[in-house]
Formats: sequence, structure tokens, C-alpha cells
Amino acid sequence: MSNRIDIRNESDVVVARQIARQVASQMGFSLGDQTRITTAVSELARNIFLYAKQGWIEYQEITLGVRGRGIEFIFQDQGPGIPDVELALTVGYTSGNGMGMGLSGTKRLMDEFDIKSSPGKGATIRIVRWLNK
Amino acid sequence: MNKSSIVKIHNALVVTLQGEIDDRTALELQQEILQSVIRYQVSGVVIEISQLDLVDSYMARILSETARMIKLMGAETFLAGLRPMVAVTIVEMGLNIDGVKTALNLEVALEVLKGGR
Repeated sequence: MSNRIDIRNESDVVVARQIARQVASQMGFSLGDQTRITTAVSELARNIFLYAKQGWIEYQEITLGVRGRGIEFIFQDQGPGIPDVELALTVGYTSGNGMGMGLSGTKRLMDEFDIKSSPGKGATIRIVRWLNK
Repeated sequence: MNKSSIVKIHNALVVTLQGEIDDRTALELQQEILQSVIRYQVSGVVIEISQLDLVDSYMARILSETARMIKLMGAETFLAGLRPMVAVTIVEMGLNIDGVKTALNLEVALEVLKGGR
């Protein structure tokens, strides 16, 4: 069963990272992984607010054979979308408001990171961190 | 909730960042710090972040820009008390705050600022 966090304003980004830390801590992630997961959620929740104005996050615990337990977050919006996903993942690329490290940095913090997006149709970003490495 | 504070200690401004700081609050704090540098005529600023449990790309940018702005105004900035895991995520993400001087804690930062004059 997945849970949902709506992102409609700046304070929802703070709520999202509080929930992320709480969930990661309850699942038994190390302090390091709690920080990685919370930081990644902060980046992607902010992106929803900045680029699409609103959207939502679904998250759930997942289990996959050899990988064991993990946490999955899916960020969805119906904003302008990401015209060039590869460009957006380029180190230093920014469309304005950040350091240009948001997406590429987030990808490095996670075990899995996928983007689906087409112009005008919003974006879906999925991230996973596995409990046992 | 944001529970940050700005106080003057000797010739330095000590900014303690804590609580949940959203992006708008971070920008407001930046303005408040710059105004306080002028109001109190300090030659150094210590931004103490040992209570922050995450620094993402936005916060890293605000911190690094604030330090550059303070430098332009003629004062020196130290970032003090980064938590180990915060340091790890900053490096793993590739965030660049190389231009900002750092100190292990507030005490060390104040000592270095004091010794510098």
C-alpha cells in the first residue's frame, strides 16, 4: 500500500522531508541513508513546486528477491515536463533556480533513479534506496 | 518551524540555523544576516549549522552566496559545525561550497576570527 504527500506550496516540501526521514528511520536505515533519502526527497519535492507548481509524492516499502527491502518514492507532476532528460541530468545544468546539481546529485544519492517525462505532460521520477547493500 | 537566531558576540555575528527552514525562510535569513552585518558593524560572521540535519543543493547555494555577499561587504564568514552525514551528502552530490571557510565548531570559528585581527 502506498502513501501520498501532496505538494502545493513551499511548506509541503518541508513536510515531505520530515515524512521521508521518519519513514527511513522506522525502516531501520542508517543515519547516513536517512540523510541521503531525506536530501533526495527535499530536492525532488522542491522541483515539483518550482517547475510544476503542484504535484504529489507516493511512497512505499518494497521488497525484491535478492535486494530485500527498500524504500521507493515516486514524484509526479503535470507541469511543463523535462524537455531533455539527459541534459537535465548533466552536472552543472540548471534551468535557473538551483546550483545545477539537483537532479545529478540526487541520482548519486540513490540506488535507483528513473525519469519519465515528455514536454507538456509532466514528469514522473522514481527513486529507490535498498536497506541492505 | 524555523528556530534560527542571530546574535552579536564580541566582534562577530553568530547565526545559528535550526529547525525546519523552507526556501523562503532561507532567503529571508540571508537578508537579515546582511542587514545585521551593517547594523552591528562586525568583521566576522559564523553560521553555525550543527542543528541542520540536511543541506540540499538550494541550502548549499544560499550558504555559499551569503558568504560571498558578506565578503563583498568586507567581513569574513565561517560555516561551523557541519554534521558528518551532511558533509557526506554534500560531497556525494557534488555540491560546491569550496569558497566558504569552515570550522569544526563555533568556538574554533570565533577563535580564528579573533586571532585574525
